[in-house]
Amino acid sequence: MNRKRIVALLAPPAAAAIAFGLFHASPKVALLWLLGLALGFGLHRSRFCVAAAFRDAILFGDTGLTRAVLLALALSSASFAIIQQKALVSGAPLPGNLYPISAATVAGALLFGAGLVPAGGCACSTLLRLGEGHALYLWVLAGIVAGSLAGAYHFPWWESLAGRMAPVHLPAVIGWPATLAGEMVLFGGLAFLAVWWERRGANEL
Amino acid sequence: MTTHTLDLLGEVCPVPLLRTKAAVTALPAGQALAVETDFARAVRNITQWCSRQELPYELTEIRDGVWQIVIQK
Repeated sequence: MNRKRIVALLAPPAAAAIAFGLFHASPKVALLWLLGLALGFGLHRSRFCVAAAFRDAILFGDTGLTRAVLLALALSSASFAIIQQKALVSGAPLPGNLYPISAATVAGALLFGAGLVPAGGCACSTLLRLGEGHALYLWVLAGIVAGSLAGAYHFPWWESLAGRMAPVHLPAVIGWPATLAGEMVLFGGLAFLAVWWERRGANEL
Repeated sequence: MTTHTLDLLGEVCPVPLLRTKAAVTALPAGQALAVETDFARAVRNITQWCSRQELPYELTEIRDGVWQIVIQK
């Protein structure tokens, strides 16, 4: 029996034993552990990569991951709407990080893109490749940690750059049904565009 | 039949598919190209591209985490 098969056989009982141990300390932590494992498994099996969702669509006309990201955004927008609405009804403060779009958003997006292209992936694909045993990604992880530390240290400056414009919470302006419908039309429209782009045959030899 | 090799070990996306496309384009008909990569996403990228181009290919994991895709043209 090769090493890989032995690890594959030992991993599920080991994960279950850890979950059992955690459950005694805190059921919530045990649940998070299992959720993390499931997420990691799904990410790895699907080779999910947000960088590829953009890059492969533009370079190769392959929009499979683009549509996967759109689906993830649609699902998380809908479920976050439920979380926010429940909080508002019970009188709790609005959950989520609401910031106005500013020059800081553009600068941050460019910095993120400039790091992600040579690394060949973003944060989640770095973690899944590390789990896969891709040692090169230890360096990428070191870069992510260093960048996050520098960003956290610098955060007040970026916040001041965002200016005094108040963030807009769309449901407060146009209501929940219109917001959700608008989001679904947007994501659906983009998915439709992605299919059109792929059929157009941008990947000819 | 001649088989050419393309060593892409250590290359990250999108380099593997870009170089595979260029190598397949330069390949004379009736010959084969053996691509080796250690980047899992590139394996899916390259095999999907082959399917769309209707190029027959054979995929094997030759070592742990190293894949070989032999593409026929």
